[in-house]
Amino acid sequence: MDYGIKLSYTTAVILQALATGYQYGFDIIDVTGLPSGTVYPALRRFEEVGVVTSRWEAEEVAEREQRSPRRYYELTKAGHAALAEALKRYRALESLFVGAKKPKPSDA
Amino acid sequence: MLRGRDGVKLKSFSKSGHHMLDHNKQRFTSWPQRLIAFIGAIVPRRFRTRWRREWEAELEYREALLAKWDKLDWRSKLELLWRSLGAFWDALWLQRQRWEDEMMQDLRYGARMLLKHKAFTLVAVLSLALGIGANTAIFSFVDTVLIKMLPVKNPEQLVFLERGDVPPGPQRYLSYAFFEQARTQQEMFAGVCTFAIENRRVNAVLDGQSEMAKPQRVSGGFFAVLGVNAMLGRTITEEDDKVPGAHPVVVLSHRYWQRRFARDSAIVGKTISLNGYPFTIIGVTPPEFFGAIVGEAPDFWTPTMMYAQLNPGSSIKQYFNNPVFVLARLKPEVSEQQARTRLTGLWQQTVLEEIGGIELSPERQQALRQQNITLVPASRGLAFLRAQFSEPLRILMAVVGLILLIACVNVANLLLARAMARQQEIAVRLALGASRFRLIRQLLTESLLLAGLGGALGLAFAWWSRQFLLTLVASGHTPIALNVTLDARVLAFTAAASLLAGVLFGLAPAWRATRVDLTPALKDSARSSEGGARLSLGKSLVVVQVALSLSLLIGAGLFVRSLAKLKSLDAGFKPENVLLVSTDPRLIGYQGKQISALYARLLERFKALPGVRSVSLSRQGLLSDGNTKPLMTMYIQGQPTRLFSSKEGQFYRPFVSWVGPDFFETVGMTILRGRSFTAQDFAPRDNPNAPRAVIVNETFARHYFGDSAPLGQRFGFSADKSDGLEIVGIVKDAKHNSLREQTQPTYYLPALAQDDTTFQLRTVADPTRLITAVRQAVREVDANLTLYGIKTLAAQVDETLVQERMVGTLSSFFGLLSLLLAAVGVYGVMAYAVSQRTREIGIRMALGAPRSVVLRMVLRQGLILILLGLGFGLAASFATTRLLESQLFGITPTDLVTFIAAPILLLIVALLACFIPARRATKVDPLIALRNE
Repeated sequence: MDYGIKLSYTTAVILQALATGYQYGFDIIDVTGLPSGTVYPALRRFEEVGVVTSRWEAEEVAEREQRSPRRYYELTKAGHAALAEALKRYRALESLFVGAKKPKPSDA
Repeated sequence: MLRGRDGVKLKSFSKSGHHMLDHNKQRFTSWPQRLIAFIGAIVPRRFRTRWRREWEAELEYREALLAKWDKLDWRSKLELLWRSLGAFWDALWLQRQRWEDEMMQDLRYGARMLLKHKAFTLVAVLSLALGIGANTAIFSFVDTVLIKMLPVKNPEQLVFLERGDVPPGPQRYLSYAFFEQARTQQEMFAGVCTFAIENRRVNAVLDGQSEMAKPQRVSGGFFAVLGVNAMLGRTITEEDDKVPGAHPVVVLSHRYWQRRFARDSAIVGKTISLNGYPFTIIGVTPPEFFGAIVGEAPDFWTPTMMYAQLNPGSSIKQYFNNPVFVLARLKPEVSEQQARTRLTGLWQQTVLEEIGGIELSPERQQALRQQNITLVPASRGLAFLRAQFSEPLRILMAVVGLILLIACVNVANLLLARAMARQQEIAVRLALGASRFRLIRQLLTESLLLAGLGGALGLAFAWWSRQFLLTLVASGHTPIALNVTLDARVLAFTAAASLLAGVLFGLAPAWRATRVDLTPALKDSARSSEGGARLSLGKSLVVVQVALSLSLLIGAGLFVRSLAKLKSLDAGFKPENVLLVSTDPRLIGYQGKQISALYARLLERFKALPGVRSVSLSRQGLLSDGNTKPLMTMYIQGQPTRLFSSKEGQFYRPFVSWVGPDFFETVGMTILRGRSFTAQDFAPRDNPNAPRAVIVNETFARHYFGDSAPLGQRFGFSADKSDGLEIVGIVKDAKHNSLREQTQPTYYLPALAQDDTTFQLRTVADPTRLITAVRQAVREVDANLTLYGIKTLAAQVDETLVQERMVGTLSSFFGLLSLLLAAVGVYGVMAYAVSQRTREIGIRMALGAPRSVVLRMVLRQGLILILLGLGFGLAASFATTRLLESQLFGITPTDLVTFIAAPILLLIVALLACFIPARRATKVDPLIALRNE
């Protein structure tokens, strides 16, 4: 099925990171080791084709920590399907990031 | 709660009631933040705020995190900086969005505009299509003949081996012995092969069907060197070419297989009889392959060792004694220089061996040292075509380039008019804050859209005209088989031409249109102050158009006159009402005296046909390929005369022509002095020592005998028969090879040839009507005899003019086209000028000016423009037509007739174009005109 994105190793890693709770841009950069010049354009592309959606994090969280609210990205249904297909291709990714500490955006 | 765009809270209030955070204020002014602000400048405005927030938030967060972990040292700061650089790629990615949005907007708007003004769009697209189409059509020929590489593997590795110290021409060919030497140089070449250039047609019989076909003899390595694999069966290999006469195999070309055998898949293995000898078909080549000579598509290939079988009556030794063309594939690790040095050494060795150890004089040693072998790139194959057509093609490219320019000028004028009509709309948009750049871009998009449509239509035009052009090019007497396709390169060319055209005609009007003085434009005034400026640009464009059109007309005129001069040239014979028929009885087994006897019989038969005035035959035709004997010395009155002038490096060999009885009468050549051949001259001589009769032409007489009367003089070509030929008549000079040539000294011998020959039949009426009767007569004499080359002498003469005809026809067509385009341009500008002056005209007429005065006034305005254009055009033509000198015949590049007739023609047409709006001006009703303003 065509998800509108190329299911390369890089995009698969980013999708997996998103699925396992790393939903902020810089967090994805941290955990995948990919450079920002790769991650952000990928995220833009994902959003363009509807594989992820993005939102500002909850105001309260940001306020509490005295900083500006960050933007976080969520996989859509199509995104999850794309991830499933990517995992079929790159089996090693299944266990990637699972079990690591996950900062959740909706922690209030 | 104050929410800004995107729902982001701008200010928030805590329970205590005062502002906790003002998200609008930048709290961190560290380097990464500043970088984001800097990069953010290129992000489209639509996304900019959100984008900056996102990046700043992330960087803030990370910095805070690092501070919390006490890791905020220079290393992590650097890492942060590095991360923020990624924002650049992000911003770049977002450019696409902006571009896409605005581009789509522009395109949609442009398309709407074009559809609204259908008439304008139609005219513009049509003119562009003609211009671009013409360019594409000519370029596709340029591509095939001059640029395209052979459709073989790695063509850039292919080289021709030639003598480097000799001027270009057949003297550069190498000996067969050397070819065999070169073949052994396996360290240098991946393969070496040779192929014959002159290949006589053969009689090909399969399943009882007989047809003349075009063969090509190639050495065993031919297909390997070119890297071509058979599509069906196999190709010729070295094994097939080892022993003379041992491997009668043949590889069919795809074209031939398709045409004659209807793609019979069982063709491999069948036997085909060539000139009576059975050959086996072993394969078929792939579709695009045509050999190594551009413009020649042989029907099939056979090994060179089958020479004797293909040419009955000759032996393979003849082939080995002649120079050959050598084609090789250089190994990639060997440099050209290395190969050249090696080969030169090898050549000198070979020559010394041939001489056989004789001591050489110092001059000859020196001469030998000069000789060298050079490598000539063969990636484009051999193309005699190139030499013949490269100049005409270049001229035509210039011509169509000018056409495109004229078309662009036309469209620019049209666009300018349209843009001026939209002054108000543009002014409003500018006033509302649109950037001028944006507007220009939008107008340019419209132009590009027009250009794109014009290009697409032009491509269609080019495709249709392909066949016509091919016919023009191929109407010479060597049939040319070109595969002219619209391939990727041609398409790219068309796209580039369209783009260039679009920018060319779109930029100036767009620029001018947006340079609007807002206030007067916003007021509802159709009389814009820019009107005058528009007119001046329009006027100068028209002057340019007229000048260009004149140049094209003059060029066309020169070519047409050149062609006319060639056609009316006295070729020394009378070409009308003569039918030519060629045949080669050797192909069906005739030998020696049998052939002469056959010819005699045929001559009688032909003479008896009704409608035939006289008949003759000749070994070499008129205005077809002739050859000279390779002679060194001629003996005149017993005295030897060197035929080689070392001063000029030229051979003054006389041409020889064997002719049958009544030849001169049949072809219409005039005997000036002495007599023509009689029947006695053809009869076998009783006394073998008596001299043979010979007739020479004027040039011969002049050249070898000067002022002394040549009648009765004798000459010969060998020491023991130094006076074997006696001149009995002098005939007027006639052209034998081409109309442009200088006549060569020629002598005519009476003989019923013993090889192939051409019959000439002078008829009372249209010669083509006799073709059936001639065929019938031949069939009655020998049903197996195949005829070829059946055409009229007039047609043959025409064939030699293929180049001139092509250039003449096409340049006339384009010249007239440019005339039309210029007329349209003049009309457009004058119409606009008149509309500008409607008020003035109205006033004048109200004040009592007669119509004729108004007419004269308008016409005068137009006349000035036209005369200016003609002036520039004449000057430009004077300066540039000298470049065409090599193509012209019989007229100078500044031929007075052309230079007078062309401007007059243009003047008349342009004045007519002016006349229509001028007349419309006189029809202006003064009341309406005055009221409108």
